[in-house]
Amino acid sequence: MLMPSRTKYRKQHRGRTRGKAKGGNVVAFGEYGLQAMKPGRITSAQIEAARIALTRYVKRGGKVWIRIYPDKPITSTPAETRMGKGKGPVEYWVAVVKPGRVMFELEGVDRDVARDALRLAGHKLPVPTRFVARDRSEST
Amino acid sequence: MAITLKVENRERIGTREAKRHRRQGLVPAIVYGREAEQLSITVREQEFMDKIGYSPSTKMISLLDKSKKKTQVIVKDVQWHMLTDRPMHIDFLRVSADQRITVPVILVLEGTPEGVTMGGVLEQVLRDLELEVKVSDIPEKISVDVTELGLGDSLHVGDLSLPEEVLCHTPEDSVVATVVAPSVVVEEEKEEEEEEILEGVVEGEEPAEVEEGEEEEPSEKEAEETPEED
Repeated sequence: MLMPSRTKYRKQHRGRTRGKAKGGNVVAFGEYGLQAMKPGRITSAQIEAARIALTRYVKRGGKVWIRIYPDKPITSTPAETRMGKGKGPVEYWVAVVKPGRVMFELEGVDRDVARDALRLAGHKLPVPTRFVARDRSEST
Repeated sequence: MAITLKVENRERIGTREAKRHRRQGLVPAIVYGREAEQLSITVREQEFMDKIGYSPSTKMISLLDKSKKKTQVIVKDVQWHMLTDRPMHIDFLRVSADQRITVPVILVLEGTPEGVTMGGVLEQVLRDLELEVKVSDIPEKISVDVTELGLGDSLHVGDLSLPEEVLCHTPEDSVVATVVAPSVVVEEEKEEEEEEILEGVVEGEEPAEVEEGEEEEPSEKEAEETPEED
């Protein structure tokens, strides 16, 4: 699963997610993409699950780009632990996603295959998503 | 057939005014170029979407203002809303029909490459070409035949046959498209390996539980000892 190999600091503040994605909000590498419609945190396990769903559906054809990276450590206090004793250990890693962020891209497959593959990938993610095409032909 | 858009001058500018215009179904826009003053205008969103819309090709357009004055322009840039794909702002560039300008023209790959039938994946690296061309002769698209591309082959800008009146500003050694071997096969192997590792973990759970139990015992003792301390 994706996680940074080395970080300057072990733990981070929780932070707040405000506004829309300023960058990474257009299909830049492939022909089709999966765009987040709401803010959220995508864990490395969810990214991996979505990637597997994508690659399994497109089988041998197509090329996949993952445009988010889980670089934020999330800590949690272990179960049955008394209060205090400082911040808990890092449990998992997340990618912070804002509305508009194109999270996955796909190329080399038909539009219908891409739509179904990205729909399946979207089901693995905790944010509502939509299918986007480079030529904006999917827009209504 | 030339496209005509009805426009109105925009006297009040700024973010708030632009938002007001958008609420009324108007798109704020600007006209500049040809050493004349820039002009802030609005275009009806519905009219713009019906006549131009998401079309990536550059066409000559006539802007018709209230005083029936026509201005020849091309769409230089459009800002789209990232979630709704509605036009937020349009840049129009003043041109004349015999003027030569540099515009991006989209590349369309046609045919199925030989390499794809052998199991490869066609990857389009370059999506458009920077062409210097007369405004009246701007091609809608450049079609490229890729049927002869084998596995591992690449098509470069220098290999393209472009019309004579067109000057290409994109470097000749830029790759347009390439057929690459699929990377999914390796990932499947990885998945199998992961499954094997997982199985290994399941098999090795028993000693882990024993260890946990051993760890728990002292904690229970501690819990028993705590009231005694009190």
